[in-house]
Amino acid sequence: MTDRRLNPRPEPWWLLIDPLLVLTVAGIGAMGTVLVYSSTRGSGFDLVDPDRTYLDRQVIFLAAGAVLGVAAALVKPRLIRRLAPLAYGLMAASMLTVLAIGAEVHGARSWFSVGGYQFQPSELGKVVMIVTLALVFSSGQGGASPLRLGLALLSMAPPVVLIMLQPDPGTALVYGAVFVAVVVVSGVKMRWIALLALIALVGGVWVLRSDLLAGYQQARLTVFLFDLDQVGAEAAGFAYNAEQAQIAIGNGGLTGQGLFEGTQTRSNMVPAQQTDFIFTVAGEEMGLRGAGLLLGLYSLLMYRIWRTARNASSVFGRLVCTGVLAMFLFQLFQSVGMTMGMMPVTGIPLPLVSYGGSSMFTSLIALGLTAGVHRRRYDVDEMRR
Amino acid sequence: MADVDRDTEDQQRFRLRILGVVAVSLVAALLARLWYLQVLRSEDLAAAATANVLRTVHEEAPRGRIFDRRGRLLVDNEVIRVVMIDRRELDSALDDPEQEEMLLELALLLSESGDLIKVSEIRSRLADPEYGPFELIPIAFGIDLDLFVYLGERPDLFPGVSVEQRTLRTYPYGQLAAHVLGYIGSLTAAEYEIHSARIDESQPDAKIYRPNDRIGKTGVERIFEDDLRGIPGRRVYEVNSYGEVVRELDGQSRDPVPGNDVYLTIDIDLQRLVEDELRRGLDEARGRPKESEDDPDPVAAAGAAVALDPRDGSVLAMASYPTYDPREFVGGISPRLFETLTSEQNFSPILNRAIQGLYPPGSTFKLVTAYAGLTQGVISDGGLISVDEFYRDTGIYRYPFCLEETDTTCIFESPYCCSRGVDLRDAITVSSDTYFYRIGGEGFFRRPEPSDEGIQDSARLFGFGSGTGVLLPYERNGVVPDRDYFDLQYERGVFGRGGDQWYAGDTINLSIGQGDMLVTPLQMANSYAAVASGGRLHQPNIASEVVDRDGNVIKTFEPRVRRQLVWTREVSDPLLDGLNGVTAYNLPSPLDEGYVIRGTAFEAFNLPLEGGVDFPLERWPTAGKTGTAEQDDEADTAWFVAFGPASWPERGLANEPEVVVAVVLEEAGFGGEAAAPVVARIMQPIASGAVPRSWTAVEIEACYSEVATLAVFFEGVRTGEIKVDEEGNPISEVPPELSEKCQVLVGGEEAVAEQGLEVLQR
Repeated sequence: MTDRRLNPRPEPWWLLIDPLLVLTVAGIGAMGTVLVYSSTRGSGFDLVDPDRTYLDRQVIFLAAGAVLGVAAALVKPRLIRRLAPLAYGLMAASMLTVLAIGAEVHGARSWFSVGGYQFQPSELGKVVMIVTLALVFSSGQGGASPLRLGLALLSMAPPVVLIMLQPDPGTALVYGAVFVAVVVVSGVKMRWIALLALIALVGGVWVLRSDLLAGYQQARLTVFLFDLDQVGAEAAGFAYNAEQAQIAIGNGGLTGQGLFEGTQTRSNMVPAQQTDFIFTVAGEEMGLRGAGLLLGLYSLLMYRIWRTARNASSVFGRLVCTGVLAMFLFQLFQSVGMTMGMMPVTGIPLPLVSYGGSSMFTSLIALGLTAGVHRRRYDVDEMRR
Repeated sequence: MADVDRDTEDQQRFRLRILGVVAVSLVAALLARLWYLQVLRSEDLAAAATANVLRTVHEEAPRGRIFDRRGRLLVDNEVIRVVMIDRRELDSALDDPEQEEMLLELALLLSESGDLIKVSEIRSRLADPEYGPFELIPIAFGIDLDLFVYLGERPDLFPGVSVEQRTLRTYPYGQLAAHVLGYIGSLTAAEYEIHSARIDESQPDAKIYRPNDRIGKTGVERIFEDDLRGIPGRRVYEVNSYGEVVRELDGQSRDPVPGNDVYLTIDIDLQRLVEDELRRGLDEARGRPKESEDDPDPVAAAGAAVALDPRDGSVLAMASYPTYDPREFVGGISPRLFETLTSEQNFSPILNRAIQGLYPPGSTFKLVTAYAGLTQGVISDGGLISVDEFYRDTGIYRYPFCLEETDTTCIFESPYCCSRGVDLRDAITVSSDTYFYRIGGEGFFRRPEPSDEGIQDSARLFGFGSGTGVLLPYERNGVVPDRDYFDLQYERGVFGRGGDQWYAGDTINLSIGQGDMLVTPLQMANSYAAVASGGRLHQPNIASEVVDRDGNVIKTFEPRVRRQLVWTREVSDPLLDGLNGVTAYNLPSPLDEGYVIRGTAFEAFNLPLEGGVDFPLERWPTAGKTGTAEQDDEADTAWFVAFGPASWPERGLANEPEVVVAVVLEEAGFGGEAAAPVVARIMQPIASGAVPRSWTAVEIEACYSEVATLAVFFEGVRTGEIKVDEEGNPISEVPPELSEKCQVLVGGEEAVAEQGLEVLQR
């Protein structure tokens, strides 16, 4: 379109990175680290020293994740494409293995537990799946044909089924969101998408009415969708969590209770507050100002990913960014929405903020891939693909 | 190809824009919800958060103390450690065999620490229906600190068992002044509502009540409740979702602030004297032989006495008999004991007769009649009779019209007298009924403007018919009978006639304090205090100051003058002379040869052999008035009211009286015989400035043990079981007596209890 595009190396190196992307990631990561510390340091009063275990680990995860992200940004697209089938195989294998030898946490067998660290294959699997889907819709001729759509569906099936077997419907939903976004942006004709949506709707209703979902999962959904009075005590437990989370956020008010001063947080009224419910800590301790800032940073981050997708020099790169964007958007909406009573209680980490290595690595690798796309936005070779 | 690619790219960008719109809407939804929670609903949710994690433990503040006028501690607090059981928690935590095991363990621990208790006793206390289902039931008081800490730290071993430090009232002087001090008890539901509505809980120093708090029920404890009650403290703890204490919020916790101390005008030494003499007077009245078989028995089971300082109207002593022990109310009183204390068969010991007892005043009321006659022109130059004019008291007074519209002559007979000539002074001194009949009947119906309200008006001026305004609860007004009162009682069906049928006979009866006139002992004392202080009627004060724990004076109670009576010498001199004569006069009648005019209380103040004392009237003149109110089918109510050192115009003596004492004994006989000696014995130490020091309960106990030892010793000597000294002389056969300092005196010399013990051991 322009002359500049024909120049393979038109810019100095520092123009190859997106500084806003890096800054927002750094900002979100820093806020997350503080929040993790606040929610895990213990009551921290009087003679008891604050617990720094989680803080230290989260810093390590951030640093290691950053290295992985930079690596991902530097890997050549060709290599990525070449490695994709291998990664897909590894993913499927590890998901199978985790079902056999994984550690059961909160009723789900999603984790490998090695030497005090846990690893969740379904997390990294998201990146693999994003790349796989982008590859399906960008390789060869013809782009987004119904055949490709079928192929994409086929590639989705093994990981999603394996995840549902763990069972971890929350993560499966992330896969679904990524799939929908990539399919839509790939350019598949609207009628096929409509057909797919219809099938999904019928299937969803069928799943809800069948015994496929465990009792507690149904309960969570029911609490969210219907009146509390009509559901049992188990459901009331989840409603309690959701309510405590909202109380915590409301307690923050405009300016927050102050860092480390949130009473809900400190007294552990909200479960899993260093992971899935971490937004309550932001809400209570930093108030509307802090929590709003966090959401603002996410918005900026997602805008940069979106912009990278729009300016991508290849369909592959664009679809990768689309997948990453969908992943961030869905996880943000689910994780934050859950704490505010907008979404059912389902365990999904808040990217870059929630405590946990798998999630952190996944997010940073995904962002690394995005940065790679940004870096090659004028790459003629890529454009030809 | 390029076109296709371009088409694809455009389509993808379009689709990306859709994704962007979705993203923007979702983030907007999150922000909107965040705004809703953190701004619109923030207040509710913050309140919910507070309720979630903060637990407030309330601490009752120690009540203020009560002191007498010389700073001696009358009511104090002690901290006591109490073990309590929550029945519901116990039942929910343990099944029956487990409970038995735990209670056995608890009983063992308590018994080891010195408080012997059996499981069955704990069980029966837990089953006591006196306690409500949610009440904590105290099972042991005064446990030691170690056990207190142990039980407090091991709720896991002893579910439902809790420990608490309570401050309890202590009474260093035992029963003394029980009615004045009052007692405290648990808040009733009605009291809780009243006080909760009254108190603004948002104030940081609000004296918030909680169910089961204790509150003053009677006396000073009740009326000074707001001063005595401290500001409750609270400990605010942050707890986690398991209810475990995370930390204490120092900023919100507050130490309890003790209540303010109240200084009374009571002198505890005088109080002791007054109470002792009141009791002794009643004892003596019971033992006094009747004049004739037909007379009703002197039951003499109840009475009251009040001592005031006429100079400022302060209450120096206030006694009511029978009395009770406020120590029995500490830690809660059983309904049975309360029943005993309030039952009329026991003469309602809980009643403070000094302000709640209503008695016909009898002849003590003649003061009012005389004042009415003097100030309303009935007794004066040109009146019915002049002050110095002699009137022949034959004991019988005939009034021409008793009932209006009839001309039947009515006859009023005085039960106590004989023929003699009296003027106003003598009439007061000898308590001549017929003299006052005449003033009442002829005076008020025939004076320039006939009125049957003249005496009542005077009575009201002296403070009768309305409360004195002393700061004590439940004071009664008494009754000054008039037409309105008759109407009221007629409407109520009590009387057979109304105010339109007020007859001359009613006024005549009233003139000597009979009829429906009713007064409280405090009113009586206060009316005579007005005579003592130059016609100034005070509102008596029971307290002088309220002082906080740092010694800052919060309130002072200045003397309150209610009114000044007409007090010219024409009025005051004959009254004072007549009243002085009551205790001092014993001279031949100037009118009747061979007849001696003797004051009605002469014996009590001059003749020790006739039950009186040898009172220093020359140095310390005492003016008083006896009263003997007749009751149907009961022995008379005996009154005596006196003040000193009194002015005595006849003898040219001007004094400023220091004290007024009023004593009333129910069903006890003549005022001069039963009540006057009580007052004389109270006044004598005051006159000589030697009111004995009042012992505290601790001192009395120590003294009793000392006496008991000596008693054993002397009993040994008496029976010969105890050997005497080497020379074979018995050490003493004079019974030991107690000196003021609880020294045991044998033949005037101090004996030491140890000596008795040594002899015993030999």
